[in-house]
Amino acid sequence: MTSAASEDFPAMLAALVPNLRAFGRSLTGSSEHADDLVQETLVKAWQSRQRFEEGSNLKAWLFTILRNTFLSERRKRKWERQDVDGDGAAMLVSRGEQLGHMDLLDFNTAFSGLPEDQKEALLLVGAEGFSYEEAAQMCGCAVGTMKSRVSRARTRLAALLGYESGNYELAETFSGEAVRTS
Amino acid sequence: MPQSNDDTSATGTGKEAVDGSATKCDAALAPEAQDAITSQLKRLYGDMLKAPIPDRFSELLADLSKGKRSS
Repeated sequence: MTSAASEDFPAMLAALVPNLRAFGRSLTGSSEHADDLVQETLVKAWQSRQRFEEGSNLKAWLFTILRNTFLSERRKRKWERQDVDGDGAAMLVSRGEQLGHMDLLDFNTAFSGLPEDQKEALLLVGAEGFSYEEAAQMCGCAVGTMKSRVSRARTRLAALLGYESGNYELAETFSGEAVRTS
Repeated sequence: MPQSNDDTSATGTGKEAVDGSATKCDAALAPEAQDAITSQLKRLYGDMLKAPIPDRFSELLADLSKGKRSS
């Protein structure tokens, strides 16, 4: 039994830093920016640790804080246009480069190029293992919307990677762990 | 702003991403394609999780628990 007020709380936070960094990186596309977000998330979580309900999902709570921090930061940036140039310009360049050789993208590139909401949905549900309900709650959308985002993300990835034509031999070498009743 | 409107209570650690339910609705995609995407996604994510963690985070948490950084 651990509570947010207990001495274990810092350790519980530390254990989730890798997940927060990965989520932040997929939101921002930059590991430096992600680390700043993670830092802010940890500080906020610490400050409001009394509000964390014991027994509820700490990871979901932290992801929500990180996501809200990211979004409110971005809203602020809309008013300070100059700040955006660094990140935004870099992102546009890489988008453009991706479009140049669209025929066979590697998975990483294809994933990074997904629309933001789809990328987030697939990461939360497909990689992190949150339920659709949890993910929907974290993103403030309906469960059906979350399901459709995940589905569209998969379909889009399949198209980008050429899986539609049955060309997935390459990936199958990694699918040993994906044991599924089929 | 932090909020904890999480009424789902403890749903496990979520450490192992078991998303059996996630793939069922993608009827349009071949199961092989879905599996390929799932396993590559987990591999990519697994690599991200394994990335070395900068010291700044352990330092920050140590400071926070000592009450050194409160704002």
